[in-house]
Amino acid sequence: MEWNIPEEPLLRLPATWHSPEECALCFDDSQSKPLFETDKTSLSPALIINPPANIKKLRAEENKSQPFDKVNFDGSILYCKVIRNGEHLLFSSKTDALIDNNTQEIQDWLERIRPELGISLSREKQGEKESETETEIRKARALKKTDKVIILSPCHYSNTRFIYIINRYLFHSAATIIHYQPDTDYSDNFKLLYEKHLNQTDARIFFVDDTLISGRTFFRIYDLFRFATGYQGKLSGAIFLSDKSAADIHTRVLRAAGRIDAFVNINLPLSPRVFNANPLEYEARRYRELYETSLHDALKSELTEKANLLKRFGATVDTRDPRQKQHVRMFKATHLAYELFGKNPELKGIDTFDDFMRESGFVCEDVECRIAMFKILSQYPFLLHMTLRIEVFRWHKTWMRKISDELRGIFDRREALPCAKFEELKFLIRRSVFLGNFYILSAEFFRLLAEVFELLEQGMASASGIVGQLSRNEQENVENFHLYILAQYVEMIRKNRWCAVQLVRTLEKNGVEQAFGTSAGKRMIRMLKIEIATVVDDFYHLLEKDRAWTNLYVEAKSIDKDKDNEWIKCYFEHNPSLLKTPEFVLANKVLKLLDEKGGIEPRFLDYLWIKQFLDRSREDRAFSEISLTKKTEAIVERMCRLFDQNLGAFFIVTDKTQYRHLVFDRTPDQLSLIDADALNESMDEDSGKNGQPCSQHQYEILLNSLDGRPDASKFDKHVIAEYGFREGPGPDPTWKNLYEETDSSYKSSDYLKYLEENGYRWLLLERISDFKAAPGQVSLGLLGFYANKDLSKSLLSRQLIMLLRKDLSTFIRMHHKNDEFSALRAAEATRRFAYLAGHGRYMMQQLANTDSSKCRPMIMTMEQLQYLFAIRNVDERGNAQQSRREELRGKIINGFYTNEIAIKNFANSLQELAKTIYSSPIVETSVQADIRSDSDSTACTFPFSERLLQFFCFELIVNAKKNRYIYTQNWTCENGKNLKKNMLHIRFSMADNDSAMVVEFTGTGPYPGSSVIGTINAGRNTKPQNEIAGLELIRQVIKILNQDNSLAISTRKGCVACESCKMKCTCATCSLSCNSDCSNKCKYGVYRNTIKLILHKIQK
Amino acid sequence: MGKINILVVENQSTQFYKIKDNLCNKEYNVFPNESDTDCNVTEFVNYVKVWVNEEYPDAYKKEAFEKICNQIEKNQIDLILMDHILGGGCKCKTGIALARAINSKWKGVELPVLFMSRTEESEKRRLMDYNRYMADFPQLSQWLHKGFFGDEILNEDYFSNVVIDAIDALYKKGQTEKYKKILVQWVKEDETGDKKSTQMYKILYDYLGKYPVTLEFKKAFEDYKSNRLLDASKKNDCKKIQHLLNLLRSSTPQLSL
Repeated sequence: MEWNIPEEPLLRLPATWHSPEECALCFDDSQSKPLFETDKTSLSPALIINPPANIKKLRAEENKSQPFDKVNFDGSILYCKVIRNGEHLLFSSKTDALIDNNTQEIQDWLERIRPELGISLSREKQGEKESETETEIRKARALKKTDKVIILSPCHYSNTRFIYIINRYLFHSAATIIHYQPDTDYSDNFKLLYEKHLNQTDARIFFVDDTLISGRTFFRIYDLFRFATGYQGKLSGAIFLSDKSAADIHTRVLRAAGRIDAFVNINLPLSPRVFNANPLEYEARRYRELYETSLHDALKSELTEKANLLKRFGATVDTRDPRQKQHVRMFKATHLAYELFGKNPELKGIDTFDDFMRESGFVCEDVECRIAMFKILSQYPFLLHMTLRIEVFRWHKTWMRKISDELRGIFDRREALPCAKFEELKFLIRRSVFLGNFYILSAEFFRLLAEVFELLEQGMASASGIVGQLSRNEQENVENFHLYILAQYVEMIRKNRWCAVQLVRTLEKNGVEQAFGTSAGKRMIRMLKIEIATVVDDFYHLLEKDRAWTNLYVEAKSIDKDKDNEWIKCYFEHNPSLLKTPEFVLANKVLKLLDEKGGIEPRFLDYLWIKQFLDRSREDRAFSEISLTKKTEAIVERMCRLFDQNLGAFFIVTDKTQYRHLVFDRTPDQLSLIDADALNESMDEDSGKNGQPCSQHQYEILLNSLDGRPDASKFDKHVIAEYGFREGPGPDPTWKNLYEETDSSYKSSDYLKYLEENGYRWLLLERISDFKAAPGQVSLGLLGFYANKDLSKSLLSRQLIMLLRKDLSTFIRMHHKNDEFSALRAAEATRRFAYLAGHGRYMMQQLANTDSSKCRPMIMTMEQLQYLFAIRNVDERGNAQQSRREELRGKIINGFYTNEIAIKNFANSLQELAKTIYSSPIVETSVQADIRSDSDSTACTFPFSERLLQFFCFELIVNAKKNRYIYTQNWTCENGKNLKKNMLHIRFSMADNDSAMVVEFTGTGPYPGSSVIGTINAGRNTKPQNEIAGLELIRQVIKILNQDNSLAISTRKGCVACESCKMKCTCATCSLSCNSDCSNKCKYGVYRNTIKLILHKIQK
Repeated sequence: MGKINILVVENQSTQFYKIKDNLCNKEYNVFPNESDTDCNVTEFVNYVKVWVNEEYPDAYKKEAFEKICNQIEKNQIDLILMDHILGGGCKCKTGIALARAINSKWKGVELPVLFMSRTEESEKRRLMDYNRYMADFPQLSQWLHKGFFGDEILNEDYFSNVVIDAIDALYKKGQTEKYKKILVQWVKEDETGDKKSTQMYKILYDYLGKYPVTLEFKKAFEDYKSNRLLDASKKNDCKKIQHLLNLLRSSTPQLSL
């Protein structure tokens, strides 16, 4: 059956529809009205149609409580976030302070209520009619001296003093006090313990507590009381120090207790739950969402700080916090506003905000009071009241216009901007976001902002009126103003995506962007243009909901650079309606994603491909058979295409120890430009210093970006940096930091110079941060793009690569901090072993293969060790676990049997070995040398593996030979002799009470170089690519055997008086006394280089 | 004569002799020579090691460089086969730096250099230097790895199939570039005088890139070069250049060097 009954409206209301981007009611300041929004799931906005609730509490004079303005709250109301009974509160009450401040007033109040104790409140006062008989009976219930008074109260440290006062002054300390702790005490016990007391015929039961807020504690105890008395017992009253309950709670408690006596009545707002969360929780969640969508680390930091502040419940109260005063003002303002709404809910006769202030009685000349009142009216819960919001919106527009005029006047008169005015502006901008006043999106306001930035740069006048002498807090506010503004716009876009379109239009208007001449202003505009791009997220979320999209590449086994975009194109051809969704229409208006013919911008297709690839790669569903290297290449190559140009790019990632790995480096000509080893040089060298890279480091510019060192502004950290080769102040063009809004040319670092030499004119760096850690604190990687022409105008490209930052962060966390990366590095280590077989070992093998070679066993040992390291130990800096090192140690100890080495015999055998090596033409060439080997050892034997020791000595002798001094034809020694002879002295001794053996190899050679000495003595590898060979292999083996083992190098000039021995030294060649100048570097260049090996006994 | 003179700069003696064996089989002249009393293989390698090591006194480094250059001059070296890492554990200069120093000394008549590195692993480390070198001495260099297959290095098959071809191609390129540079010089010298011979030089210059240089041409060119300054009247200049042109045009790849 066809369902063709037409839908008829119940009520026809006139409606005018406006396009969200053109709506004058939103964006035209002269016509604008507050926008009541609904979320996606509800049709009606979250609004309270009535004005703030009529307060039905009795006025102070009626219930004999102390008038609000006559209570001294000093020190008793503290601004801090507390949770009480599941409610989140901004204030903590200090009961003791309130009692101390108002001791006499409390006594007077008690005297006032004493005659009426036990008499329940007139029903007329509760809004009901009461007969005369009823009145008489009620009055007859007045408290008598013979009554047995029982005080029921929750068990809490804060109310004990007040209960004591009540007991003493009202009941002459004769009351029975029942302290009950509803959260921990068992209700069964309540009846057992207190049933008799409560059921006595002449018992008069009063509920006493310091504060009434939500009524939860009261009702839990009240319910128990009723249960224990068989639902027959009645309270004679409830006494509170301060009643902060909302109207409905107050009424319920009044009906249960019969009467309420409170020293002070305070009107505080209801705490409505916003989207199923307490207001503060909702606020924190809102900041978290903004954090998730924002693109800059600096902004993320700002938002996280705000979210964390909200979450810091129960934090110690800082009474010096300047916000304390302001929040106490807001506390009072809230009470007075409620009182005013109690008297005049329709706000009759109140037209302006000044009228409201006057009527509320919150009279204060200070602008801080106006701000306090306006603040509470423009936030929850007052913000929810429709009529009030309309009024507040109107007042805000007026105030905004007023301050705009004032600021323009200050700018025109070239005066210093007063600090208070600056704070007032910030306050009003923030209120614009709360109230939805889109005036701040207008070109007029942007021009005003540009003027404010200029005023701030000139120097703001402090609260005391002195320009430049700002407090630390004020200084921080000025420095972070651009971030503050940015956060407001980001929040506004988050609340209403169409604001992004307005912002784009405003920024495109003639002269708006150009009006920002200060560096902070330019930075704000630059960041804003990037942040606007977040509107694309909505469209992508829409795609993510479609199974066809998420499964697009599930079957893909490989990456096809040219055809993959066709899949996406095809997807949109099959789903044309997607391009008509509001999400895409909005994204298109902001980013211009469609060309004139309706075709999708190819860069956007590339962006979607990368995003899809990164998402699927995370799920491990598609592309699962593709290696990490290929994946990385595919991503970076695609990112290059976002610039629509032939680009060079590199990608550096860091592992868990922040060790840097170059995972991609390719010029447009398929060459590499970066020396991967050098990337870590500075980190190693500087780790013991001040953490700064040495100024000469060739990659300083990259490392600064990678490590997020602050840029020239000193405040923000690099997230994205751009350099261009441009005309400078000098005759020649130089590299300039395009984001550093100063005229000085950027100092030319080696890397930039090298780019320039290779014809590149533009470089963009993008840092990938760890978003799981504090924003901007931990760097995961650095992406770099360079081209032979300036691409700094390409806004869409920068927006798209910034949008991909978060996904890249996840990609690095997933792939480079886990076993996959370890496996890759293990494979690299194995490959290194294979490479090792190619060069040094070739010579060694030849040596081993010669007939009657004494070296064969040592070479076999070397091969075994290298093999073990290649397969068992990935890299001690990486993800190799400690257990692997233990396993390796076990293998070495078991594989190389430990025995007692006869030291003198061993030393003698070494002399023979050294002579063989020096005379062998296979190890470079046959060389003449004086070779000696002796022992000063007191011990005869030493427990160590002879095979390992032989290998160490063999390696060090070969090393000494290779690094011998090479005498040229014209060389003569300092004594005029021409003895072109090298020496090698091997010396054995004992140390640490014979627990360690010291082997020293002293040979003549050229100076080894300070960097080599430093590297060896710091325990680092001198070989490229982290090869485990030569000294590094020895060092690794001895360290695995015992951490106290060591290998060090020292050198001294062959012919100078060395400081250590304080004796006249001899020429290294002819052994005669030297005549050369000891203070300078040896002009003959012959040094005595000593490798010192300290080995401890092997303990299994 | 007629063989290509190659200077092999290799600090590992075993590898030097292996390269020499591979080249001598193909009838190249390989230097340094064992029988050279002034500077034999060991001494030459020593000089190279002294020059690359920054820590030797300047006077000795200067002496070492002179000895290296003497080898080139004395043996009329046509091409250098250069190892990349020439020093030991110290941070020494590389073969690229040595090639640069040598070619900077003979600015204008640069020698082609075939770099041989142990493996591709060192690629990133050397690429920056090598790219700079390529920018300064374009066309006249190439990079090859030493042919590591499993346990073997400088494999004979790899050498004859890859390295020999690269040497020949680079040599030809080097010769062509050398003649072109000389012709450019002559054109500059004759610009104000003999316009006809200038025109002929330009045609010859164009032909040089298109036809392979033969031994016959090489000889005729060297003769012309040595007589050119002596023949002040330049009566038969155009005829001689025409002869060179004919030689070049008649050359075929088979007959080329």
